[in-house]
Amino acid sequence: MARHKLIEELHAAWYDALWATGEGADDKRKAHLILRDEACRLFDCSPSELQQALRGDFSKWCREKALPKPPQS
Amino acid sequence: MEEQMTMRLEGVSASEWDWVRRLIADVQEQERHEHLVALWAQWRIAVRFFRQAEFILMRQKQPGAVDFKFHRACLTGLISIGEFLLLHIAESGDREELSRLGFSGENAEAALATLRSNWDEWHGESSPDRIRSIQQKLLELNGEAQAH
Repeated sequence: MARHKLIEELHAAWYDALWATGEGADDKRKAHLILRDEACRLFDCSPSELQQALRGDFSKWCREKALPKPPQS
Repeated sequence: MEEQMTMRLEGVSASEWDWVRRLIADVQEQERHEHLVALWAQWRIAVRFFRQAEFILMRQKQPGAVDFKFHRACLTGLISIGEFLLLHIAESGDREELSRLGFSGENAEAALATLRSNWDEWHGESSPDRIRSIQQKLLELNGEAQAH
């Protein structure tokens, strides 16, 4: 099943927040927090609940995209 | 009565926190900003190593009960150390000097917020029914995506 654009965006933003390094990484973390809060308002849930609800699909999304192992430095 | 209780709680709270403050002072005897920023940089490296282990053990594979325990222990430790460092850095003042050394309080807070979200993601304690109802809403959105 195709994912809704918002869920795709949430997954991509979470991936960046977790694994972005170097210049711009901190901005990506802040961008994820903003997008996540918007989604929480839409789904009427807390950030913690949203993170838990998305976990399984996020891991599946990572595998589907064949995303590389995050760098250590 | 309520006032008395509040005072008592405040007293307990203060003494409870005192040992933490002493711990921070012991760990970081040097007040030099360079030292604090170096510790912060080391913490960030530790976070990256943790993320790599998480990716391999928790996302690419099906994590077992032991993986969950180690993940929670490591993540809790990283959050705790990060909080200590931020508190100490905030107390040390001189934001200009810290900024010159490449440290941003706002970015540091965002890094910690991401770790807390990470903790919620794997170890949050919301009821399964509540999580299922949110997942249902997400599925409905996905259904809309397929229909268009």
